Amino acid sequence: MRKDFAWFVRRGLLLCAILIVCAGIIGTVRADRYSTEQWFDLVAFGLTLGGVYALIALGYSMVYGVLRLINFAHGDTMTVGVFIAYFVARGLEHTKLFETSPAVAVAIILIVGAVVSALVALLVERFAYRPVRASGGFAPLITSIGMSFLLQQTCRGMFGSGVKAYPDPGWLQGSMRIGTFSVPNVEVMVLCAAALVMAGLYLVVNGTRMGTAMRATAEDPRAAVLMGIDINKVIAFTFLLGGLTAGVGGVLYALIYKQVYFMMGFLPGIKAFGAAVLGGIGSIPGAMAGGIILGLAEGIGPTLILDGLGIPAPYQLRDLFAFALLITVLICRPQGLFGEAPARRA
Amino acid sequence: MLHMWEMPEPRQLAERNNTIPVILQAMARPMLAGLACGLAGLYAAFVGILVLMHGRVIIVDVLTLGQCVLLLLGLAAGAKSRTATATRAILPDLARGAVAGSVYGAALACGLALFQIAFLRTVLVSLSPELRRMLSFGLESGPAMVTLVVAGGALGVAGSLWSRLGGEQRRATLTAATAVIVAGTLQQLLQTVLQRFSFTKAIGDLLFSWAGLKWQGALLVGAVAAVVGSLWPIAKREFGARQPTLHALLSDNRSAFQLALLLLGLSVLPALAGPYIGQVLLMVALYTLMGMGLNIEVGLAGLLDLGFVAFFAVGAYATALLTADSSVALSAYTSIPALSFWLAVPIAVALSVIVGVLFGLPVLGVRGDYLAVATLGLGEIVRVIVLSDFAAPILNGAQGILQVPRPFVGSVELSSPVSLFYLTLVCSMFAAFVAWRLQASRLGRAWMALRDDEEVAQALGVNLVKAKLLAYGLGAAFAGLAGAIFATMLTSVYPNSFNLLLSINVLALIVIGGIGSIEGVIVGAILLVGLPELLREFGEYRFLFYGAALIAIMIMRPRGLWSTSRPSGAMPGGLR
Amino acid sequence: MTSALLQVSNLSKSYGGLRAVADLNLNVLPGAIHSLIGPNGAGKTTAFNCIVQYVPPSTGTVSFAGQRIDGARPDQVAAVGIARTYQNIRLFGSMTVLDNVLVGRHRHLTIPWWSSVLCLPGAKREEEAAKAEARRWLDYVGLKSVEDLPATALAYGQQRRLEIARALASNPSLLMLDEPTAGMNPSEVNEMIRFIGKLREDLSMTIVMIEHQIRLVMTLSDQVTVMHHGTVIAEGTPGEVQRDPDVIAAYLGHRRGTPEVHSAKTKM
Repeated sequence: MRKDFAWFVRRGLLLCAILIVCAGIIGTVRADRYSTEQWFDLVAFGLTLGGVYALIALGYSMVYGVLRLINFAHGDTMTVGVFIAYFVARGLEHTKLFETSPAVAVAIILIVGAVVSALVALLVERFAYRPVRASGGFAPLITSIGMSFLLQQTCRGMFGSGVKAYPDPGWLQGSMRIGTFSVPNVEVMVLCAAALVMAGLYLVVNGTRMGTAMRATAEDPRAAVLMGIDINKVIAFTFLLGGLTAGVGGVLYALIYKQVYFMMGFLPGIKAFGAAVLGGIGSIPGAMAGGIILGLAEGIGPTLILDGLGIPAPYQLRDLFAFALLITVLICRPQGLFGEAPARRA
Repeated sequence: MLHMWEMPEPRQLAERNNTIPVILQAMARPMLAGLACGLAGLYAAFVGILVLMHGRVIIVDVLTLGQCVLLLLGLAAGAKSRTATATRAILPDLARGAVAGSVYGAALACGLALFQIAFLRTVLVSLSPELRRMLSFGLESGPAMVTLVVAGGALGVAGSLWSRLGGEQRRATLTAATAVIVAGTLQQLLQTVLQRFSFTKAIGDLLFSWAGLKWQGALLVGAVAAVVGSLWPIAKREFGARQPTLHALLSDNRSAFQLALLLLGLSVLPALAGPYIGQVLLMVALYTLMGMGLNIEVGLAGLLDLGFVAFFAVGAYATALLTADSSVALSAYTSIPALSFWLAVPIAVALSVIVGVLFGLPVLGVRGDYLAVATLGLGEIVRVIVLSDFAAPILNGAQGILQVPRPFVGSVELSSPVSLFYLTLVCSMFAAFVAWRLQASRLGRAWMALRDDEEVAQALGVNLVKAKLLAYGLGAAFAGLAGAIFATMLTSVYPNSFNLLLSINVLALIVIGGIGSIEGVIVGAILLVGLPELLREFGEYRFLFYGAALIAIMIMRPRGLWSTSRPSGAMPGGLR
Repeated sequence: MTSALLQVSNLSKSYGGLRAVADLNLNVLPGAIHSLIGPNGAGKTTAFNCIVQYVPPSTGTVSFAGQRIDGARPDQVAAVGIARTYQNIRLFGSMTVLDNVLVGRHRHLTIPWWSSVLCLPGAKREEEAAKAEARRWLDYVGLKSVEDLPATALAYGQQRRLEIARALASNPSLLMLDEPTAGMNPSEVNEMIRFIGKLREDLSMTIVMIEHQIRLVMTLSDQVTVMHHGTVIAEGTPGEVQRDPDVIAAYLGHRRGTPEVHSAKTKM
């Protein structure tokens, strides 16, 4: 690494960040205002959020791996799925399913969300991204920004701009005891679902022919074409997988916060992109790890660091953590925490 | 034995044996065309924009904008049903048009049928009674659906007939239709302008009633437009032959000439059209100013910045804090006196430049798409901090800062939108001038070189740090200036005005005008800021329109509407 | 030795465990044409990139006209008077031919940006002078007539020459050419040989080049350095190198000093 001006700036920033974090932690530890149970709650909530971010991050990471495109519309693809799933949930409310077998009801909602998001992702790829794929430059990125707005505003126009409360089975509002701690059921459910989906995705990507083709394309698209891989199919498949995982992630997110509205995809989308970069974009395990780290940082961060610094109302600044983490990683380690340094093009 | 190439293809065999697939095959394209147009119509209906358009009257008691869209979609289905290689025989064409149109009509009829499902009405807020009335012509569902299919078929036939016309006639009809729609849609604007003078008032009264175009007026406008549209190319050719030197002069300096015309129009219009148009144009000029700033970053230096709004916010807050007559202003609790607008502006701009450089410093090494996300994050951080209780003692959180005074020239307060417009116009013309001068200078070339290939530019002696920081600084300066004007225009500053949407708005207008082109910024600002201001009732669909426009431009005209022949208007190279 | 324009001592570059270049020593005398040759993957381009600080070297020093340049930024390297071309031509694709060459003039322009904005007479004069100089170089490489075209509209051979004109426009004391004949047909190669010869005659330019075209290397070089697996295996005049048994072995894959391979037969 050359020690030029930019290098010193990077080092300086990193040092400042570390100092602030340390000062905050020391302050909080010395003040000792929170009980072990409270800390456990924060960690559990952070992990839950992290699971959701990881699910959304997977789509970013896979699409970036194959197309080198930051899909700004990813979060909004998810929103569409969440909306349709919301209507299904409203339909299910009237049946007895919510009381008799809540697990089945939740599974149905998740599957609907996933399938709809996947369909939207496929349509978006086919009709917006494919025509600009060869244009180069900023064209694909700007198209994805445009698509993000189009999807958001379509949801707003069709379903209204108000915030709707997500109906959920009463079971999710309870909590269960683990040892001396109590954990909300919804968090247990989210973590289980996220783990299941991630395991399934891992199997698909590593165990199927299409998954192999996907990894080959991510490695070197031109070589993949020469090996007889239909790149259009691979890209569509990637968007399909990304849509499926994002749909599940989106519905889980909606179940955590118990609400749905047309802009809901934007913030978790950007944060999940941060998670994908954090873990090394293009890498699937990286996206999972990045999501968990980001979730934990958001869950514990405000209390652990900002509270210690004596900042009023630290929860208002919660989003700061995701963005600060994202920027620090982009500046100091763009290959991510677990990625290899990219070889410089000769 | 047959040779390979004499073997009939399996498909041909099938065609010989069965005529039904042949017909299906021939009708595949018309059906697809009809379906595409039908889906477009349904989308417009369900997203809620069709009903709003229905509220805009084009021709009084005859046609609304919404009906116009439906008609045009039907005609388009018919026109698109013909393949390029289709024979000139008329009957197959008519059949194709009829099929395409009926499919289109059927799609709309399906949309109408959805109204029968009670559950959907609670779900889709756009399934309103007005929409139902519009689609069903006030009929019962059954007859309405039949009518839709039949009317669609007729439209399709008409569309396919239209597409058989010669190029000249097609152009003339198209111009006429466009002129009528534009005249009807913008009737408020045109009427206010026409009503101001007695001789134009007569024309206005002839064409318009207060609700919209009269049908006689529509005929007149259409006829004039058709004549002008068909004579224009001939006149141009004649002119080139008669006055070769003048013609050459005009076409050589075309962009300068057009720019001059554009600016002239912008500067004269508000004086003619009054305060309402002045307000609209003020917004256009303000966004042009910001666009000029962002264009330096994105268009020239290739730095895709989505946190641009931060500089705008700094300019606005600095001006407000320095000048406001309120308890949160700096003068209230420090020894700094409350400044006048003119003294505060240089300080606000300088602060914006400092923030721009500080903003650019950390992201110096971040490239292409990553830069977009990093700057977006930086912008969001600024917003979150401004909104928080943490910064509230200085910036007053969500309550914002009120009572920002208007600028004075001598003892005259620049309080009317028109006077503020002229102030902004001067600023944005200055910005355009700077951008234009820099384009063909050492710095401008260094930026473009960095945009095309960072490494090669450095190897030729371009100092990356200096060039990039200058781009951020200059871009921020113009944004800060715009922010200062914004604060004094609203006489207040709220954190919620400075969100990501504003960055996207400015980005969209330079992309749509043409990245890297100065005229493009103005065109983009007129289209993306001026038009929505004029069509107020569509205000909430503004971002839908932006999103669609961004995608369409990227697919069809990636260099923007005002694409220059100069290669500097090309798309910058992003992440390799 | 001390009068060397470019002096590279013990330069090494490793990527992880791989040593791409090991202990490279190079002395380029003023006015000389020095060729760097070797089979594919020998580390020539890496060495080249380390010299111009495109990639920072792991160890070793690079001095130019008695001044250390290792660890410098690429624009500082350009400022001391080193210009280069690239194996896969890298022009500024969205700019015109003339603008490309004008970027080459960048380091000689001193007028600050605000005086160009204010249309000060000094800025105008300098801009005109820079344009005249750029046109002179375009004329020199025979591209004067296409100066307003976008750079990407040129034919392959023209793009090569434009890249050289852009490098020459910065008035370098050392020109580094990375495979100037890559992808050219025989007649274009001949033209390039003549062109580089002319450069030496007209400008007495010092040139370091990587080259595969043995004919070009043999006709033009004063000094040839042969690399193989990251190390220098031979150095000397073209004639000396051609007879070196290690070189022959490296190119033909025979064991060291295999007697039956006759240098006259090999085209290297």
